[in-house]
Order: sequence, then C-alpha cells, then structure tokens
Amino acid sequence: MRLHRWILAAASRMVPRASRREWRDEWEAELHHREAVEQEWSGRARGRRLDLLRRSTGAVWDALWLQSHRWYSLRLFGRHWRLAATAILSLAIGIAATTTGLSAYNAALLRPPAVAEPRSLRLIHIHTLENPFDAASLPEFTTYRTSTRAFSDIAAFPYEISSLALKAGDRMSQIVAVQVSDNFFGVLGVEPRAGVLTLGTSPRHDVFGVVVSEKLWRTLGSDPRIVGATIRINDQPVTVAGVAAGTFGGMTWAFEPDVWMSFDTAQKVRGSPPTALTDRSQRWLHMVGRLRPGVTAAQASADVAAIAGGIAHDYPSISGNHTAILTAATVTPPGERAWMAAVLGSLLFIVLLTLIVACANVVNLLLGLTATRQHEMLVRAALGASRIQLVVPLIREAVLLVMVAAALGYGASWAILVKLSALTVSLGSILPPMSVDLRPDGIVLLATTAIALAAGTLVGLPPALRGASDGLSGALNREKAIADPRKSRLRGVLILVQVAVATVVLAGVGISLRSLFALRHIPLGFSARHLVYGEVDLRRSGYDAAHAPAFMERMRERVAALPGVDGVTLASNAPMMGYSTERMTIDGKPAVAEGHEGETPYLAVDEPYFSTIGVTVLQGRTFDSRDRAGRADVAVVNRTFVRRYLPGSQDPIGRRVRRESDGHLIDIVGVVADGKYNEIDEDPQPMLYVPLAQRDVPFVTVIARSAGPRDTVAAALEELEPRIVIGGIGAMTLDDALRMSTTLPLAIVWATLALAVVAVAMSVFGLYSTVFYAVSQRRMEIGIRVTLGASPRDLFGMALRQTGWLTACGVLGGLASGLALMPLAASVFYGIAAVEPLAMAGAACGAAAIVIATTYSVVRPWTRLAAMDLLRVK
Amino acid sequence: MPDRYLSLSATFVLQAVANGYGYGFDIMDATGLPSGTVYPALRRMEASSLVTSKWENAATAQREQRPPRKYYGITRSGQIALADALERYRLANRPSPHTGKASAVKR
Repeated sequence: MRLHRWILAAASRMVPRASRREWRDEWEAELHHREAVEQEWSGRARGRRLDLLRRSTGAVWDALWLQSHRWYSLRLFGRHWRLAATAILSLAIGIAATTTGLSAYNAALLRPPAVAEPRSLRLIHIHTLENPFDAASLPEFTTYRTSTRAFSDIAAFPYEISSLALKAGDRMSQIVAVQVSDNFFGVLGVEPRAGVLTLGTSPRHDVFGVVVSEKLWRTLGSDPRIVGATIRINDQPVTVAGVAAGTFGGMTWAFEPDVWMSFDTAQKVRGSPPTALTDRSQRWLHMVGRLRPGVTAAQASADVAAIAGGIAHDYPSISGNHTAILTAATVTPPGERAWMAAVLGSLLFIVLLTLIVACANVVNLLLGLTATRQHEMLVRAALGASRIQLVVPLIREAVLLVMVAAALGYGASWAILVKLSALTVSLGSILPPMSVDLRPDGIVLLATTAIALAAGTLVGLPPALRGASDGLSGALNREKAIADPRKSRLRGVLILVQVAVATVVLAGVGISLRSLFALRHIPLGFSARHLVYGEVDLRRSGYDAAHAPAFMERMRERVAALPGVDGVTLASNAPMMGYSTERMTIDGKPAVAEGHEGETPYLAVDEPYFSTIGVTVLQGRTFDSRDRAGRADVAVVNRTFVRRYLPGSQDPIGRRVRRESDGHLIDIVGVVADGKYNEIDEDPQPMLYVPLAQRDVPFVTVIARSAGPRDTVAAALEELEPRIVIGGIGAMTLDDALRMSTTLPLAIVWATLALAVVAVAMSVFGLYSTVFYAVSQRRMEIGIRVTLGASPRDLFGMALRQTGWLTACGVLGGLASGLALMPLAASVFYGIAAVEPLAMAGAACGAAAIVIATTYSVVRPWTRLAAMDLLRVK
Repeated sequence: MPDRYLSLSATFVLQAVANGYGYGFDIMDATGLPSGTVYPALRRMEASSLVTSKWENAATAQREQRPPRKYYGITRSGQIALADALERYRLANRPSPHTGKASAVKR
C-alpha cells in the first residue's frame, strides 16, 4: 500500500463512525483521480508521490476538524482557555513529579543490567541469619562454578569499585576499576566493541590483560590500535585485550567502570593482600549465573542449596550455618535494596500526594466549567440522552485534558532527567564522581500513561456525574443549583483532602529541614577539619612486633617535623574508620556491644591521640609515658561504656575490665566523650581505648592535622622507609570521608524538600481556588448581611465557620497519616526520632494558617464593596 | 438559521464552487489553498446549507475505471452569502482615505 493510503487509513480512525465510510470514499476517489491525472501529465514518479503525500496530509486535518466538531468541549476549553491552561499546568506538574519519582525508582530498583537476556540471569547469595544477601569468598565461588548443574556458567564480581591512576601515553587520569572473574563478560553476554573480552595473562605471564570501556576508549582518542596496547595502571603495565560495547555500564550502580580486570591483575596493581584470594572467610564476591535453557527457578534454587550444603559440610567452622538463595540480577546490591526502596518509596509517596493535589485542583476547576454547561446538559437530556450518554463524553474530555497534561509533564520530566543524568556528584577526592542514568524508559512511560488514564477518569468522574445530574434534573429545579447541598458536599471533600495533604507535606518539609539541620551539626565527638590519615602495613613494610614500636616513633617524629603539621598521632584505626573487638568482662559479666557477637569494641591509640583529634576528656586522665609495654594494663572508656556497663557507679576510675583472651585485668583510668566510630548515623556505642604501646598491631594508622599539601605526609613516610606499604594518605582526608557519608542523606533531604515544596505550593493554589469558589457561592447572602449591617469581622467569621470544621478534620486526618508514616521517615532521614512533635505541630498550624489566610483574602474585597454591588451579581 | 458569515478562505472556496469547480482537489487547484483548509470549509458550509454535495453517477465512474467522486454545488443561500462576503472584502480592500493603502486583504 502507498504511504498516502496509510495516512488516509490512519486518519479515518478519527472520523466519527457514522460518516467514516463516506469520508474515506471521498478522499480515496480524489486521491485516485489525482494520481491518474498526474500520471498522465507528469513523468516524474517521485514528484508525483510527494504531491500525493502532501495532499493526503490534508485528510488528517480534515479528520481532526470533524472530531473537534464532534467534541463540543474542545471548543469549550478553547473558550475557557485560562481555566484549561491552569488545569493542564497543575496536572502537568503532578505528572512530571510522578514521572521523575518513577524514573528514580525504576533506575535504582527495577531496571535490569544492560546485558543479553537479563531474565535468565540470577544473583546467587550466601544466606545466613545475620546477612541474608552475603557475598562469597573466592574459594567458595570456585566451588559453585565447578559444581553447578542448573547454570551454564557462574561469574563473580564485587559491588565495590577502586579508583586507580591510569597512564596511557602522556595522559594521566583517575579511572574506576572493577575486578571480575575471567568469564564475567561471557556469562553476561556482553559484546566487544573491539578486540576480545577475556581477562587472561600474556604467554609470558608477566603482563596482564584488561578490558576497557568504550567511554574510556573514546577519552583516550578512539585509537583503533588500542587492542594489544600497553597502558599503566597504578604504575603497573597491563595490556588492553578488548573494548566493551558502550551499552554495557557494568554491574555497579552509579559508578560506570572504566576498566575491568581479573583478580590476579587487581592484586598486582592494587597491592591488595593475597589472603583475599585464598581465605574462605573473606567474602567479597557476588555471584551471577546464567540459567541453562529449560531450568526452572525451583531447580536452580535446589542446585545452589545443594552446593551450599556441601560447603557447609566440608567447612563447618566457617560455613556451617550457610545456605544459598537466588534473586534477579540487579545493579544495586540486594542488601541495600530494602533501604533504597524505603527512601525511594517515601519520595514516591510525596510525588503521589502532589498528583492527588493536582487532581483535586482539576476537579475543582472542571466543576466550575460544568456549572457553565447546565444548558447544554439540559438540551442533551431533553433530546433523550441517558445518564451514561451524558457522563461518558465528559469523562472522555477529562481524559483528553489529562493526556495533554501527561504529555507535557512527561516531556518536561524527560528534559529534566536527561540533564540530571548528565550531572556528576562529587564524593570527595578519593572516589570518582557519581552519576545515575535516570532517563525514563518504556516501563516508566507505560506506568505514567496508566496513571494518567486513571487520573483522567477519577478527575472526570465527579464533574461528569454533576453535569449529568444537572442535565437530568436541572429542568425541574434549576434555581436550587447555587445552594445545592450535594455540590457543597463535594467541595467540602475537596477542601478536606487538600488540607490533609497540605498537612502531610508540610510535616515532610519540617522533617526535611530538621534532618538538614542535624546533618549540618553532626556530633562527631572529634574535630575532622584538616585531618589526613593513611594506614601502614607494618609487617609488609618489614617490621615485626619487636621493631614496630621504634618505627612508629620515627614515623611520628618525621611527620611532626613537616611544615604545616599541627599534630600527629597513631592509632589502630582512623576516626570513623571502624575498630577492633575482643571478649571482655566486667564484674564477671560480658561487656557486649550490640551486633558484635559477644565482643567489646576497642581502639589502640597513642598518647597524643585524644588531644590531636580533639576528644573531650570528662574524667581522670588519658595515656602518658607510664603506660608502656610490661606495665599495668590501663584503658580509657567513653561515656556510653560507663552508662551501660558501670551503671550507678559514681567514680568509674579504678574499676577493672577483664580481657578474656589472657585473663589480664585492665584498670580504667579515664572517661572521654562519646563519638562516631563507624557511621555518622550510628547510635551511641561503648568504646574502650587501650594504649598502642601495650598492643601488638599489624596495621597502624598515621593521623596528622595538616593544613599543608597532603602529599607531603606520604612523601615524608616513603622517604623515611622506602619499603613502606601505605594506603590513603595523599588521597583522602576525614573531611572527604564525612562528605562521602553525608552526600546521600543530604541528597535525600534536598529531593524530599524540593518535592514537598512543590506539593505545598500546589496545595495552597488548590485550597485558594476551592475556598474561593465555596465562599463565593454565598455572595448574595453576604450582600444581604452587609445591607443588614454586618461588619467585616462578622463576614470573616461567617466564612471561617464554613471552612473551619473541614479544616480541623483535614488537619486531624493529615496528622494521623503523618504519625503513621513517622517510623518510615525515621528510617529514611538522618536524625529523625519516631515522633517529631515540633514538625507535626508546625504542619498543623501551617495548614490551618493557609486556610485562614485564604479565607481572609477571599472575603476581604467583599467587605469593602457596597451591598448593592454584591447583590448586582445576581 | 445558517451561518452566513464567511471567512476569507471560505469565500475563496465558495467562489470556486460557484465558478464550477465541484471536486475537492479541483477547488484546491483553483484557490491554491491546502486540503486541510478546503475540506473543513466545505464541511462547515455544507452544514450551513451554503453548498450541497452529491455522489457522481457510479456508472460513469465505472466506465472510466475509477471510484465515484463527490461533487459540491452552491445553493441559493450560498450565492447570497457569497455576494455578501465579496462585498465585505471589496470594501476592506478599498484604499484608506488616511494612508492611501489597502487596509486588510488582497486577492
């Protein structure tokens, strides 16, 4: 069929059915005639076809005209274009917010990785009571890979990334690297852009092969000779085996890898400990398998469970309580998905509230429009239209309005999300910038269309029923329309819903602001400003227990002598970088911190630790020259330790803690303030500090407060000991670490705040128009009252009584909903308690204030008009 | 009562019909207007009884091995409306006494 006939066929669908046949016959005859005439007159087939095509597009306009002629409402919307534009804008904002929320949810939790046939991929998790989605060790992965019968192959990768230095030619840059098993690309079905996607070694086993991303290849100049070329990563030579296709963004969410390397290569270029490849207890690899054709989910689950059973049998001390479970392949770690779902679910909730407010606004506007169509409905009803025949066209018009708004909202959201996807979020100097592809895909489009259709029906139904009712009964009692109690009830419901939503979103604003304040004022328990640190591997640097103390002293002196360094201290861990645990008892009872399997957390620190990082001493003393090896064991504890293990003790100084490993008694000599030891949102937890001089530690962290260049600290240590194995210094400060920790909570707070402010603005607009309409229905009554001597105050009180009860009910409903959602908010937002009375009271007062201000602004102009002016309206 | 106020493009279309251009595409050729303008104008004028339409004799079309075409003709009301419209646009096209330029439309 020719293209112009296709256009004709498509356009004919828009023509009303009754005249469709005739319409099509006429157009076909005209096009046929024109085709014949042109064939006779002009020899150029191409020009003839273009002319026919041009003429056939007129059929589309003709069909559209016929449709618009049929839909009286389209012209009505045109006549009331301000009202229609307001309704469309309101809904477009709601739909744009919904699309944005759905896209974020989809990108984080639903979208499968960009690989071949993701449905036949499964993630295999080690499952224990403590960690339902644990990773596997390399030896365990090998067992799964060789023993499986349900999967054609199993690959492994960590959800962690490394930031490494790349040197290619003269170009130096930081890249994102991921270590994966050699069959990684084969299992995922990723196609090469160039070369081969294998991660083997060269025949001489001295140069390792890596795969680079298409993005990195383009950054390096799109050189077709890159395959086989040698580049240097962390100053180690590696060969580029292939370039992965640009559609593959890796299996790590928010960080698109530049380089994939094998475990052996990673060990070589990163200098990671070899135990990671042999120790069965070091679980860091997530497994992904490709199901064999025809294998069911139950068979695959049974297969991995059998393998887990075999491992548990062979290694009961390490893997005794393990089993294995399967989940769909995702780019977000399964252990993080519940938390992410809570966060994104909260955002979606606010988004849906915005949409509800938008729908309520449109219902109100359409009710106003329906009031102008009473005569139309009367005529239709008089001509014999049934209720359903009156309702359906009105709903169809509302759906059309919503679909236009949906197209606008979706387009706006798409433009915003494309911009956001191109943005990168800095996470400090150690990690590469983070970016997330939030662009909406087919699933989001489908969901948005379904939501828009549902919203259109819901929005259209009340005005349609109202209009039909006007048509069917209006002939008998047209004059009662103004004071119609059913209309009042509907407006009452609208006011109630809008006040309730305004209360909930205002509570959301309050909670976001509270969390923002808490994030800006996190009580760390120390000062993180200008603190640089690096972990030194004493054993690999060549120092055993006997020689380590002298080396540590030399490191301290060397760093302290650097210009710009205000203080140096050594500890087993840097602040907020974790701690060690050990079994200890007090008065025969175990001193157990939550989540540490019966062990007490402790840090080994040197004498100037507390003064250098700024921990407040509350009682007793800290460590000094008396606390050496061979002397009495001493400890400093924090306030939570005292509160939890020495309750009621007026003076904890002198109390003793027993170390279970050797039975030594440790004297408590001081008490210091609480701090954060691992995460910024952790609850206060007990901590015991012991002198570094009394412990043998294989790793020690050098911590310096230095305003000078960070690289000088690392350079000084390398100058002091060329064999030193050190990580961190020069790349990261505690400020960076804190920025990393607070980036995500801050992003959540700002996103919530932005959405909540939009929702509040729309609620205010909606409430204004609803209250305006509700109160303005009483214009005549107000005129009479003014004539009879009512003061402005009386009028305001009268109007307020009309909305007062509805406001009170709406606020109560909003508060009840808000309280029900508080546990969710407390789990999502930093620093939020299970009940936030201030935010709730503020939200209730705010919503009430909005209604009072709106009522006042509606009534105020009328109080200044003469009674005749008000009555003249009628 | 039929709507006798004609827009300029509708006037062109009606005049073409009055001059014997009876088919949609012939009217397009005569007026230079696109099909998206001509057809809605014909529909509107047919609804207002300014033009009538009838299908061509099927036997004639069959003899020429083509589908029958729809033919439009002007009614008495259409002739009156066309005369009114032409007079109106002729006045509008008269030079302004102040500027000496034609004020609105050109043929």
